[in-house]
Amino acid sequence: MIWFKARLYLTSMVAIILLACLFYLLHDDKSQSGQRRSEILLQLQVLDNALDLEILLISSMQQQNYDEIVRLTQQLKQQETDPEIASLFRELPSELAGKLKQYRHTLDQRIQLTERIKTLAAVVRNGLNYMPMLLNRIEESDDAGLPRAEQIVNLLYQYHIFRSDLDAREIRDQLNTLTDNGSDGIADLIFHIQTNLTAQTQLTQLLAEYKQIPNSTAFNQLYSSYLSYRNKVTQQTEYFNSVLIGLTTALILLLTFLYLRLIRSHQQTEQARLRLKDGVDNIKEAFALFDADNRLILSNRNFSSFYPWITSLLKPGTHKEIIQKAIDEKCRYQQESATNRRVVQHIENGNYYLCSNTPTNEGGEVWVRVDITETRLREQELRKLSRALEQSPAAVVITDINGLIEYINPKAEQVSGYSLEEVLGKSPAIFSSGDISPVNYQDMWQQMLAGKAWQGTFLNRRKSGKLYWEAATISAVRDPGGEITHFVAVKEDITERRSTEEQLRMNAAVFETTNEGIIITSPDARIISVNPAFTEITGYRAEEVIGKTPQIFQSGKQSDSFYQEMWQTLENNGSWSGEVWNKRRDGSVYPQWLSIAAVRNSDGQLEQYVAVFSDMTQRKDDEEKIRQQANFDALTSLPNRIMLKRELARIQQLSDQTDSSCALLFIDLDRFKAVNDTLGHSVGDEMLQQVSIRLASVIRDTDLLTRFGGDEFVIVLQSIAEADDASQTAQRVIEVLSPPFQLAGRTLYIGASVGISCYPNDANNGDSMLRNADMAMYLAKEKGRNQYQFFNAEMREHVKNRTEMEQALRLALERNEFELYYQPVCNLETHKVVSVEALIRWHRPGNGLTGPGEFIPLAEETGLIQPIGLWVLQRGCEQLMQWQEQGLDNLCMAVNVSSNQRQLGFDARMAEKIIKRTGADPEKLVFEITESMFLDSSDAAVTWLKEFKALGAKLAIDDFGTGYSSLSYLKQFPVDKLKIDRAFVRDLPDNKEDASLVSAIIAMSQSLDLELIAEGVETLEQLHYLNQLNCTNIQGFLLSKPVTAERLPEVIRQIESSVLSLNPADYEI
Amino acid sequence: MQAFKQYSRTHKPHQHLICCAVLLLLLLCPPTDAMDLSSEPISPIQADNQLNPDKVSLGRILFHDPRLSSDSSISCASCHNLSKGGADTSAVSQGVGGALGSANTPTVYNSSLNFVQFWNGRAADLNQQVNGPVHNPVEMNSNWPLVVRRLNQDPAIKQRFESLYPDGINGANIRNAITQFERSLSTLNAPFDRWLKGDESALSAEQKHGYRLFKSYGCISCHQGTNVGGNMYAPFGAVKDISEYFNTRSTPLSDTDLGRYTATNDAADRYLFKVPSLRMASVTAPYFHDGAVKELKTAIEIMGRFQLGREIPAEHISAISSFINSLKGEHPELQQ
Repeated sequence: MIWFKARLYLTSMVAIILLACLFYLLHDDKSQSGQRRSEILLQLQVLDNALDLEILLISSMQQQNYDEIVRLTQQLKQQETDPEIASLFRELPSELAGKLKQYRHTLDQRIQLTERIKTLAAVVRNGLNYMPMLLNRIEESDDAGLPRAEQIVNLLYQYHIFRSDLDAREIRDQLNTLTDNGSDGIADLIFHIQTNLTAQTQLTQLLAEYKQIPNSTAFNQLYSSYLSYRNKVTQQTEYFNSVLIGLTTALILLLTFLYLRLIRSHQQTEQARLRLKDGVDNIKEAFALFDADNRLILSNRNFSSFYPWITSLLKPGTHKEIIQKAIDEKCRYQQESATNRRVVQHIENGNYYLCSNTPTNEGGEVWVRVDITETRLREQELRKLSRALEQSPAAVVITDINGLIEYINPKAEQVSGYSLEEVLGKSPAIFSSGDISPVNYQDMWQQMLAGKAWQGTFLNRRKSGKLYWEAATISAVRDPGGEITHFVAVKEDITERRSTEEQLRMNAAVFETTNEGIIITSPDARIISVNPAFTEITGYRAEEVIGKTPQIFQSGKQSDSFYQEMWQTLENNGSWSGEVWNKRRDGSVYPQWLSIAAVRNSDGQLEQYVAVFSDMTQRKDDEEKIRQQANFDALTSLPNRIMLKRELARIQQLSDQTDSSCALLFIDLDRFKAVNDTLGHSVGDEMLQQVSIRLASVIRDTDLLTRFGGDEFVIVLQSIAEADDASQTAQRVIEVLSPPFQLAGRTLYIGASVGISCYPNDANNGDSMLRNADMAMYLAKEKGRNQYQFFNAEMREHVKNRTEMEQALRLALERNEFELYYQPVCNLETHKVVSVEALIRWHRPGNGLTGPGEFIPLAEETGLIQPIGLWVLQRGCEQLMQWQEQGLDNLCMAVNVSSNQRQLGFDARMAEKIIKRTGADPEKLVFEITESMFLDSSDAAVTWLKEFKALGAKLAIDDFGTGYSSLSYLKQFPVDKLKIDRAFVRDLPDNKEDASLVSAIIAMSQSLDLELIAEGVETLEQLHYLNQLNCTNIQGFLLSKPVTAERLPEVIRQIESSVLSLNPADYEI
Repeated sequence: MQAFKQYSRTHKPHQHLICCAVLLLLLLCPPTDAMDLSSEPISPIQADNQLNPDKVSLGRILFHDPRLSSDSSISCASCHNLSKGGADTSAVSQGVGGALGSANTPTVYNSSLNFVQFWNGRAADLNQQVNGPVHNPVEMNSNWPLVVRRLNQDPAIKQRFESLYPDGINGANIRNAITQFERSLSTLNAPFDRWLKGDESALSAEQKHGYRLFKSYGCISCHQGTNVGGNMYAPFGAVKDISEYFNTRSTPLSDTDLGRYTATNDAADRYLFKVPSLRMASVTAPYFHDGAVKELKTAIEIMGRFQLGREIPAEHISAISSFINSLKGEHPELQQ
């Protein structure tokens, strides 16, 4: 409405302003240009008149110069050409324009004549000016014609004054009479008078023409026409003005009228609206109406009370979206139900409104909101109760008055195993276990029908047949009239509770009877309960300690930080256990093994601490014994090898600190083995004890005597001044052991060899000290018994060599110094070389070709065996491929794998990589492993081997017979071949022992279906013997030494051609 | 005549006023010996003080700008040498490609005082005049679009134009600027003007004598006004047949000789020429429309003969010539 009003005002104002402007412009413009035009016309007239004046002056010879007339003519021309003036006159009616043009034309004519007049006037003037001078000349020349001349000149002046044609004719006549008598003057006079006369005549004519030009008439006509035109225009303008004013007035009146009408209709509308609003305000529902533009038209009081936070928005004209958005800020929407499309708003304050948005005919929308909060709450209440029933931990059974089941809740379903459908309409007897329930049903019914609640316990049977205990409360439900309509049984499965009670009873028995002391405290560590074992161990009775804290047991042996740590652990982990020294009631201190556990309830709340402890006094004693055994030799009570190593480290450290030296004496008893072997271990043991006593007598207190093992003793001398101190001790050792020992009724002599190494001169750590002293001892032994020997430069050299070799070995791979040699294995049945064994050689610079025996142990020790092993496999596979290309396609290759390689990570996966890379056929590969691999018969080892088998490769046991392999081991491992160690072959067939061993191995391999290869076959006899025993695969010098790859094909050819003669089929032992 | 009466009526009160003012002045001023020269037919040149200095200086540049000619060889100043009297010394000037003009170049000094332009008055004013040489095939042989295009390529000129004229460079604005410059070419303080203003010593006795002769012979009838000429047409051979002049001339009769006839085709306009100003006559030989006469004295003699029908004696010619010298005023561009 306001907007409409504003529009009305605006429109009227604009209209009025427009009209006023129009009025003003029309009036002003017309009058201004009219005025200017008048001015110009008058100006033209002024110039025209001025021109007349100038012409008058010129023609009367009074004007001295033409500047003024030039000015006038130029102004007149300018007026004609001035574009401003031209535009002013352009709009005039054609009649008026014609008149203007006509007037202008007359002006042009006059200007043209003016120019001629100017020219002629000059000539005339000059002629008149010259006449007196000419007469003078004539007079001076005494011409007789002078009087006549004077007469004619006078006539000329007369003509000039009166300009009568009569005078002109007279002058001409006279001139004719004035004969040219040869006088210059007369001739000149005649010429000039004639010229002058002609000029004056022309001038007179021009002036007449000039006067005849109807410029005044033209102007007057123009001006009067213009005036009448102007009057007409002015009249017209005024007429228009009047009309305009009339129109304006009419418009204003009309607007006023409209405005009044509008106000009235607005009032009516407002009244109608108020009525409507009043009606709408008083309905119970919230109501809002929007027009087709989604603008709010009307909302009732309840709408704002339903949504109090949007009251400020509820003004007519607010957009629906804005209101919707504002409402949405504080409410959530719910679909009333899946089938019902109606939407329910849930307001933050808890109210529920049912929403209905209905389109109106106009295209707008009506919103109606019904407050359904109360209904909703009631529904929720009911739902809550039913949910409580549904989710109740108690089983609920509802029956009708006849005791037929109407409802059981899910818990009841769960407990009984029956579903609601199964029991609906049936008697609760369906749950019954039979007649074993300790319930008097008659009593029960009596009590229930009397309206009292009955409580009791049933022994029921689940659907599954299992029995269970149930505590039940049954009561009657009455309608408002007091009539019983239903019975409700609330039951609880107490089976578990019953068993828990049993459990508790059992626990109590344990608590009472266990040998371990138990203390239970409250969270603040006050003792709540103790068991009889507690009393037995500590001597305290329960009533003496209850309410106190376990601090009363503290012996003071543990520091405060010990208890802090204990509590910390207890807090973090929930339990703590450890050794604690506590005090008994009688004051004695004893060690106990204490376990404390924090007991928390299901909420994690600390409820109590349980401390369980046992008396450790006995255990402590045992432990001391074990420690003794670990560090000391049981036989001699001397520190053992473990202790020695530890002490050595300590002593070495001490030497470093005090910058002193120490020495290690490695003592090995001579001939002790003989004592042991001949007189038995007990005598040996007794001897060792005596030796240890004698050795102890020759050392200082600060020195360390240990039994290193067997008949080896080690003495460590701390802080020696010079090497001589060590040699003196060594000498004393030898001397003290020289006297005979009286044992088992015999006099026995032994001796000792002593090796000495010093720190830091000979070694830089305990291990090398031991190693060096050991080495020195061997040397002493070699020199003869009862000697001592210092570790010396030669030995150092040996060590050094070893170090150098290690370095060379590391470089050997890089420098490609290794080469593989191959030794063929020939099958005696097929007479073919079936495989070769790859054997490594080292072209060590400066040392020539080095066999594996010299460097493989070192490689094993240093871990270099791994890269070397991989290289061997790689090279072997490559070679296999080369041979294959050369036509040796049935040849297998055996590669050695040491147990160290396995420990260093070598496995089937690594092998597979190499095989794949080289393209070798894995079935042509045999991995030779040593028996030592079988020492570890773990699953891991078996798996490791099986993976090689899975590649397709074969496995062979190398050096078989030297180790500990037993039949049972072999069964476990997935091996294909056995290689009989050369040691057994060497003495065949003469050595009976070896012969029987070999035949046993052969028999065993046959029974296990293992292929056999005899290594180290050097003689024909050996070959024949083995062949006799069905060991058909032979390897050895007899056939060929290991050879280079290049030579191998040739060697194979030789073997295969000669083997026939080596192995006559009819050969017999 | 009615209008004239009206005019007279309206001016009567003013006349009274002037009479009163003159009387009052006569009473107040002490009597002097000075002559009253106010009614002399020649009046002093006044500087044009309605000029825009910026436009004048732009016009000066354009006046000297050869880009106005087709081959960029000729500027206005080529023929109107400002230091040498505002004209050149040839009978007819050379245009582009050495083409010869058809009439003698008049001085550009005081040209704004001429009532029409060109010898035959075919241009009503300077503004129209500028079109002539620009388009004339024997002068600049050019056209405005070409000139405008060229000037537009010069940022400095372009910028000057844009600062002075809202519509920038166009023919009308070029003409306007040049005209403004030409209007500034008024020669001031000529000895004769100074004499007119009362400086008795400005003229020599001979010059004064020459002036009197100039008047008495009737030269003054045509050569009057501020510009001593330039405000009327006169037939070449006003009282005596001019054929004699043309016959004795070395060059044959040409269209140019026909004078205003070439502009109007009116038989009466045959041999009619604009009377030239004598202000710069002393320094703008040769003379007449054909530039056939090299000496001023000869020109005076010829004028006396054909315009006045008189043979002027040599001493008189000399005096008149001397008077004519006194008409030349000063201008910064002009070499004294």
